[in-house]
Amino acid sequence: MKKLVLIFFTITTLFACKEEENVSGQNKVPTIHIINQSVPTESEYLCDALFDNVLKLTTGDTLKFLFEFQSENPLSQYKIDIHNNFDCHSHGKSLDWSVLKVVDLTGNHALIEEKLLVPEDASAGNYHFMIRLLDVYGNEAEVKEFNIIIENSDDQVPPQININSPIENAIYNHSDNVFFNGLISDNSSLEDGKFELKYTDANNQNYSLYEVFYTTGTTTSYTIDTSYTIGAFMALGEGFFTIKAYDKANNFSTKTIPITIQ
Amino acid sequence: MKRIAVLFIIVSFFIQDSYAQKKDTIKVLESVDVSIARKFIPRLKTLEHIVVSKADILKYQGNTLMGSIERIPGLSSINTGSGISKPVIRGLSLNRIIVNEYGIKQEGQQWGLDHGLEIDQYNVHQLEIIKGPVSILYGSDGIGGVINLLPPSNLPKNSFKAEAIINYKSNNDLFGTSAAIRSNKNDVFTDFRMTYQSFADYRVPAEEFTYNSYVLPLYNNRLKNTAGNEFNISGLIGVKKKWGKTSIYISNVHQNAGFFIGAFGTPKAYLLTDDGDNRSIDLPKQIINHFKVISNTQIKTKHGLMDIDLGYQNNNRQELSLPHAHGQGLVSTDNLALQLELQTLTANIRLPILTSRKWKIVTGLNLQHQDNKRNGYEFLIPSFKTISGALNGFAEYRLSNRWMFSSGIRFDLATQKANRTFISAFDDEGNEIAVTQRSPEIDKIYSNLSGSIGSRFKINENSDLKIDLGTAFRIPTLAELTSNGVHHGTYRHEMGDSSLHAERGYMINTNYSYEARKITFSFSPFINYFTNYIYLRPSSKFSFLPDAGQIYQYNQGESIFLGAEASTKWNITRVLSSETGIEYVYNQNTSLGTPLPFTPPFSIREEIEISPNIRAKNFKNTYFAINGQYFAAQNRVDINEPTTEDYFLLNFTAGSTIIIGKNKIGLSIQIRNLTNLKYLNNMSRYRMLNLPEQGINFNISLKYEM
Repeated sequence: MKKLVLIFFTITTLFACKEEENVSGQNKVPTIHIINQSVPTESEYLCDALFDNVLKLTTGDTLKFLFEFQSENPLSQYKIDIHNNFDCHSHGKSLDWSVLKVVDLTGNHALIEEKLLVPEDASAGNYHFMIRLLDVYGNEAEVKEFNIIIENSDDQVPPQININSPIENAIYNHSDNVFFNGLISDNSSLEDGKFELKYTDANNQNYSLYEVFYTTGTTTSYTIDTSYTIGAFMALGEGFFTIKAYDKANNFSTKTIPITIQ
Repeated sequence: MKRIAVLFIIVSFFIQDSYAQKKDTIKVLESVDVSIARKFIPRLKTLEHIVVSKADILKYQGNTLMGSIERIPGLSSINTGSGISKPVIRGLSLNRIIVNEYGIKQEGQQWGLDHGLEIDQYNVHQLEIIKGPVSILYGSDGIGGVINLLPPSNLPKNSFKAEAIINYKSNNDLFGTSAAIRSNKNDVFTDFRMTYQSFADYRVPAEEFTYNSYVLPLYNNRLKNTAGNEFNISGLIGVKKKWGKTSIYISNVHQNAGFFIGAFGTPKAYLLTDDGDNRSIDLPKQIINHFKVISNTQIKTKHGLMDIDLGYQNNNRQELSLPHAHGQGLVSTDNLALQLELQTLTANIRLPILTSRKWKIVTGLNLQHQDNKRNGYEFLIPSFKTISGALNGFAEYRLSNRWMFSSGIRFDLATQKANRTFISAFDDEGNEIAVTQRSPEIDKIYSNLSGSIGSRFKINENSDLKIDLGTAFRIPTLAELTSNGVHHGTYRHEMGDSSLHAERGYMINTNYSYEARKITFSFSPFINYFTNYIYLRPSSKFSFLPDAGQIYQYNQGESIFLGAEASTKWNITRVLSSETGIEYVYNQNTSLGTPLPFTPPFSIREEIEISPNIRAKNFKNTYFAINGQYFAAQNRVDINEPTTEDYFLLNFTAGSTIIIGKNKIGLSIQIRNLTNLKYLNNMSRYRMLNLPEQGINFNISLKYEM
């Protein structure tokens, strides 16, 4: 028996000691360095969360990056991927501006200048921008990721919100119906836009109540006519509704209406 | 649904009550079930074989069946959150492990890393684990071993049993309840069970995690959208006659589990904000329904019991997520990303043809037909049909009282058919603009001859030695042959290869065991060598799908697995006992020169148990135990798989049974992760996101039996 155990461990040790090909490992992972960029990276709130990787651009702008790719193993490819992130939760219903570019590389080091032109007719809004890198063994570099906010050079005027109901500082009970009545209007167009309704209760808890896309045929004005029943789970005390309206170019404005739940 | 469950429990007690009043002659079983009528399962004698009782499952109960048994050396699981877990034996998983319920192999898209096991753990009466190649007996996929869920033993004639369990787990606010009634009236036996379990998002001892050098928040220490629930119902009816016995078992397991909201695509801070309801199961999520009908018949023949097991299974898997969340470029109107409905018909016949003092020979026939249908806006695998059949023979020869030999041979024939699958792309207006082929036509036939030879030698009264040499094979899954798409959970574009051959391996398993009155010891080293192991290889090329990373291509080549488990149980005194378990697996994809992914690290587990002999007549099986398990760092990782640091987990369990007349009330308490340790587990799919595992978890179970 002892012999058997001994043989087993010898074999194990033999395998364990066998020199492995150096194809992977922490130090073998390729890296992406940004040497310079034409637009500074800023901090900005996107979809209610603070991001420190935001690039702000206007339609017609050119975004320039100088990347340095480096690896111990020979490099294989890099990929540029830009797609819209209009509603924060998925990638939206249209693919307005998108870039999908895969480029072959050779050697262990590469300096690459990327010029990305934002089309004149790109929809304004939020976009994702990702740069990925691979070596020939398939080791993946840590992805470099940016959020791009594109403003429209033609229409930079947000829509206006006028609310008749509910009135500010109104008092409601749980299960009361709150009627929303008002008008969203825009200088250019509201087509394909939407408005969102949220409530923040006394405990600072946020509730997303509605996301309403304007009815087809909406041009420069939209009438808000909806209601919401105050949920029993919303904390008593002072809170506020937030209405956020977007126009066609994704310019937006918000309106808050403080109320009290008693 | 909760209401139904409560109603069920009340009704079942009521039935039991009236039943008891009518029949005074009912015998109440005093202690645990007598051991299950053991069939002649030849392979057990030359491979290591572990039996887990129902009491043990309850004592170490985890969120899933695998969570309840993974403490056993050699066993582990690949987890996705707290509700989904896949069995792993000695580092082998997916379609390399067989789970059999009542003699029928569980079929439910086992190829997916994020596809759990659709089994009601409360309905497990007894299970056995065989580590090592079991293909000879169980067919393709029996490479790493088998987990057999055995049917309940028959109650004595004219008796009745009822049980109800309630369970609470603090970490994910899990509430579970299960009730069963069993009877035997003039050898007509029944067994009915209903289980409901619901859990909230689970808690981790961390307020943030780092992914891609971004620090992301975890509000209230919870992983958003990891909640889930489960509703299972099953019934068995059978009859025992002079010629043997037969039974029909019908069960339905329904699982609904959310995925961590940051696990699809790259996690974003705004997705992680608290939605105010930690029990809500939002997108992305999976809903799985597994329905089965199994018929088991045993007929007494001259040479022993002949078994006929027939089964029908319908596994319906739906994965839901917001369309475009992965940029597949398709327009969809609903959230059904992927639906796979797999229907399986199985027939297994086992006939003993010779039993003498020296020889035992059994022959078997296995038939299986599968029909898979796909639906949803994402493409991963096509609809397909398979037919497979096998003949096998197994002989056991007893040379002397000390030497025993066994040998088996098996011939398999299988076909796989799938049509070419096309996927349309649409423009913004919903007009079809392009049609692309996503998977090729598959029309394949496989045949395989496999064999095994083994021996058991009784060294002396207390110890014996087993050695087993076997070949194993596995038919490639349709996912390995045809998949072409971004598999969510794995964050990469996976591509099949329709030219793959069956996976084959040679395996040597040995076991030394020593059993004495006070101490038992077992040591099981193994070596597996695969000539063409199927694995996902990074292609070093990017996917052209938006928001997708690298293409991983299925490939096959040589690989090797070796390792060992050791365990001891030492009854130091009547009251005090110690249990130790050690496991280690080394593997290497020798054709690539890299280790294989999801390999369990070296671990050592020690448990000290005190079972005081309480004099009071009403108390039984009282125990207090503390166990600690050390997991070494896993630095042997595949390309792009992160390394994981070592950790030490401490758990506490205690329990007792109170007997009042015919009634038994069992209480068991478990505290898992006693130190609320923040650690990463390389076997967790959320490891990729640097998400820590569950923090401290108080688990209380109350079981009522009569």
